[in-house]
Amino acid sequence: MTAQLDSILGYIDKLNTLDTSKVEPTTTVIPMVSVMRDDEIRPSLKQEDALANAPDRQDVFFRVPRIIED
Amino acid sequence: MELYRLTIHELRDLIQKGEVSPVQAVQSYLVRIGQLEDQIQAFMTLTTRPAVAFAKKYEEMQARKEKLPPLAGIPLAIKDVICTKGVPTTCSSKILENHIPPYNATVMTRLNAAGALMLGKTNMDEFAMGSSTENSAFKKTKNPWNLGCVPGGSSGGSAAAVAADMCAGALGSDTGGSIRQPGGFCGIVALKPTYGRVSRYGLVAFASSLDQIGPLTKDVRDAAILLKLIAGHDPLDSTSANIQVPDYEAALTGEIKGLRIGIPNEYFVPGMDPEVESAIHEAIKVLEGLGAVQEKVSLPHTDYAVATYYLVAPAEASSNLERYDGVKYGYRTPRSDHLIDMYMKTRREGFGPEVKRRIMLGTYALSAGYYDAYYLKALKVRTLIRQDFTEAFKRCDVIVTPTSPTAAFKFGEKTDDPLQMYLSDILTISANLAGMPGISVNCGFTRSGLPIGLQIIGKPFDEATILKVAHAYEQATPWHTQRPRL
Repeated sequence: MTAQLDSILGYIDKLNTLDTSKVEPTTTVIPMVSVMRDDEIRPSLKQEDALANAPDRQDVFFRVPRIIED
Repeated sequence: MELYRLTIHELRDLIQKGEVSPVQAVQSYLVRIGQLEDQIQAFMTLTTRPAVAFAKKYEEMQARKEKLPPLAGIPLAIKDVICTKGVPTTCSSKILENHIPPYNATVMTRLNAAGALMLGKTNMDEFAMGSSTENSAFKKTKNPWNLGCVPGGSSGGSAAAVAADMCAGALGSDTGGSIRQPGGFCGIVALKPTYGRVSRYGLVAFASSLDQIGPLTKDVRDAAILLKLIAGHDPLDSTSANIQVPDYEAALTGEIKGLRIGIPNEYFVPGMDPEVESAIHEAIKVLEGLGAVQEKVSLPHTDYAVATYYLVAPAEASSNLERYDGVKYGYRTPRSDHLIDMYMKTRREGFGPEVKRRIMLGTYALSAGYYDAYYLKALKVRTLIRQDFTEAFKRCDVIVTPTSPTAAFKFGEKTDDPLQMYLSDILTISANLAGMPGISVNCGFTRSGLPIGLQIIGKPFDEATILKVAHAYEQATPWHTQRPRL
């Protein structure tokens, strides 16, 4: 795995041969603005549906191993 | 002619006229799947009972002479990266092996409303990361044209199912070529829409600025039909464009006189199979014969596209895949001491090697001290790649290239060296980085009988033109009528 990652990073280095000092980064390829909607309550996922795939649950909670290590 | 051989539009016409029952159509495909699935291994899950139940419902509507929805009874296959309510959606990963989404992707809601039936979910490279479907955690899908060869990836299951007439059409997803490349390898039509054309709501996210859902079909008219159904603004996806959806079927006029086709010399890469190169040149001659005009264009930053993609996509993936932590859904490691231990073991055990490779690359590219040198740099090169296309499109209407430097390779041929696998994406990747739509159609076969893909890339939201060119080419050539011998 390490050798493969090294080889990939080595290949990626070719980007450094390009002068991008005057180039703006592209974060989105379509004109995007923050999309908003009115703050009104709409139907959302039922609690039982949300819990249905839980690996471990108790009542309406997802149960996980203890959070604090010793 | 067996019903399973028909295209979506042929079957649609027969069902709408009441000449064929949707139940007959579904049964034909189910028998076909029964005959071939052991060999091809295209499906992760089959949804036989609901498909037949819905087919019966439409058959009853037919009997009562009620107006049917436009795709009533048409059996489709859906890549297992698309959320289907109540039906397992695994992304071909152990970490989602038993995952059943509580909601439908928007594309599914639209297909269901149109009356289409789902035959099942198809196999893929795990989390859509791969170019051969060999990264599936569960099974190996074969190329129907040669069972010793890969179907391509990551939508290999969908592509194989369409090519083998195991469905009337399919949906896939494309982040770096994952619809077009398997489409090319399997000799079918495969379209990646403009970024934002089709809603990503319910598409399990790999790279949010690159992912798009698109159709894989037996002919171009079918791709136009499916695209019209799934495209369009969705309030549930804030990256979906609020741009009207044209009547793509109506665009298939066959008229391409005077259309300027751009040929970028950078896309005829060293190491390209000479049979592929000559098939593409023949295809260009066919287009010229139909009245199109060749323009030489240049996409000078092509050589940097793979490097750019393998920074941007893994970076976005490293963020999108953080959610697989064993807490609320998916696989959880059976034994752990505390929460962090649980996270680490769950992800170590649940993810395959390629997914881990990309998460690590992506995390590294975004990490403090490396962000500017890697991720930010890649975003700037992305701008240059997009500008290449914008410049080229001032001089042409579409850009025509091979879909892949080679035809389908053999299993195991590229699995030892991930970089070799990445480099095979060179011809499809730029369209994702730039957000442009692209379609692959069959343009011939190698001497050994493997399909060769012709790619047509278009301007943003100009799927109508790439469909028109693809259709004109298809109708002037015999390739689309050929089927693998199975």
